Amino acid sequence: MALSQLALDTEDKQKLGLDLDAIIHFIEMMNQVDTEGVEPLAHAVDLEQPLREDRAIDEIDRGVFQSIAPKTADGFYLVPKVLDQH
Amino acid sequence: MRPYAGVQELRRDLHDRKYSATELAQFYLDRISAFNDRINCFITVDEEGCLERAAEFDRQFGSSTNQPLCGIPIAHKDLFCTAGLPTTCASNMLKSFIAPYDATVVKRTFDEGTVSLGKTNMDEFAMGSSNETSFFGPVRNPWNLNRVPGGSSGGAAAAVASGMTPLATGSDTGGSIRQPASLCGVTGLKPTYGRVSRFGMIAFASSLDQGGPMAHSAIDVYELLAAMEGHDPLDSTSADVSKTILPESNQSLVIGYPEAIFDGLDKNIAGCIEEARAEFEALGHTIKSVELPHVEAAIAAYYVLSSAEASTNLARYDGVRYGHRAAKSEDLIDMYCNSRTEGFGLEVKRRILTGTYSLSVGYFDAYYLKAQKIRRLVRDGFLAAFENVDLILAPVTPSPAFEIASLNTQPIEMYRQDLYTIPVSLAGLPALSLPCGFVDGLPIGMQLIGPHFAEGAVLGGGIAFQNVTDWHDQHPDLEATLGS
Repeated sequence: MALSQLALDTEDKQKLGLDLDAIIHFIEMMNQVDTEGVEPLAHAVDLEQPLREDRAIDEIDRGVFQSIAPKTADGFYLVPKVLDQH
Repeated sequence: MRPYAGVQELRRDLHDRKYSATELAQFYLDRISAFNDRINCFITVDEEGCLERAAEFDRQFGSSTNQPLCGIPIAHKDLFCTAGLPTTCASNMLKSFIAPYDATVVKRTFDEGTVSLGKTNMDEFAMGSSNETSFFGPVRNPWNLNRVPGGSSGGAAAAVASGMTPLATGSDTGGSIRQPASLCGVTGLKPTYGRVSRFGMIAFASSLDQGGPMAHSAIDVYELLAAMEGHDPLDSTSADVSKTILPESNQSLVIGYPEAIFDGLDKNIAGCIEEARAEFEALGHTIKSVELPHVEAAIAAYYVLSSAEASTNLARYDGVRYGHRAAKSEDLIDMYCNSRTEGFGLEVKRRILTGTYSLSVGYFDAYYLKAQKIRRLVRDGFLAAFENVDLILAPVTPSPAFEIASLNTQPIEMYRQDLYTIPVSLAGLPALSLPCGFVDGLPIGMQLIGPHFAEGAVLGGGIAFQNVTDWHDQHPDLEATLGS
């Protein structure tokens, strides 16, 4: 739960808990396949990654990007307190 | 004007001034306003922007234009960012999100002259096979309103199938273009991974996501692909390859036929695929049996990999820079949790939890690495098959469109709907889904799968099939279905 940053209520917890049991059981079907000596594959298509020149292109307009933020002030994103004040 | 006119007919009529671009746009907008209430395939209809753009073309038509899709309407799946127009991903999390820029796919299709009608409904964050996980409500199948249109590009498929747009963009991670195309009786292509830019396409599973075209026919799919494809320096996984070229007609191909995976397939669907196979033989192609290994295990591997990638991709939705923020929170962590809990629907939470679980310490090797190894075996199985055949013919779905609410509480059964599309996704291959018959009055599709970057051969095969069949020319009787 901590990794996913979700706060589930009791009903959802129960429902998703059952689902997850079933999903994990389903996923374990993978164990029927012998993968001894097989290299993991991250990307299906063997291509060289085309790199672009290390040069700035369109600059991000802070005003435009912050106009869609829930809360900002003076060009910063506003969030609730991170540390308790003592 | 015909609601099911193809690109060539629309282009010719616009050129001959049979109708103006404005009249054409208005025609589709009228159909949307007549039918969308019941089918729910659009989340946003951009009437004003669409008519303004069409009027601009009408002024230009006096001078010649070389934009191949000039004045032709299109609808974008609501995960392609559109500057100034909402991009919701069918989620409460992004219901008010307006992107500051256009996705490359949106920009390119705009530059080629398309007129955007709006944004289509989908499963939330593209996670689903029935379009029932949308925050904006389910999309209904135009052939039968009690049935699902498939997903996640269900809105796009239903919009094309009901003649609300001639062209639509979709995206396919594990079958999200091919399965809805099949269930709605339209043609759709999942291109090779890297063929179409992912820049500005909201990410679900980055090693699998691929945008692609949907339309009434393979030739129209080709027309739209030509507008969407090409290297994009803004997407580091975009392939720098030459554009798709259709093959000379009358080329004789060897088509692979994986009978072993037909076990468990609806008998009537198997019959449709058999008939298509006979059609290909009549066209002069040779059919050859092929084996595709680990199809069942591929689904499990897919759910591990896609959920793991989804859980990391969706970590960005924290209520800070954009998207939903919970009204009340004690502190920063509390705000993250509350915003995400309120913003995401149940299926998205299910995938995030599956993903974080399989990536967590102690489970990583057993789940994530194991899935990546199976991915290699699945891909190598295809590559081995393609040493002997040019294309592979396969089913798209195990059954016709199922009833709404019949599977949405059974995640595993829902995941199994993608049995035939997922292996192709894991292997990153191009595959065309095109209509090949009807079962119980519902359309059935088949897939033509090709080697990496062989979209030309795949589309060529589809065009040849559609030249001698008329499954793609069958359309639902909407007036009768909607009782108006």
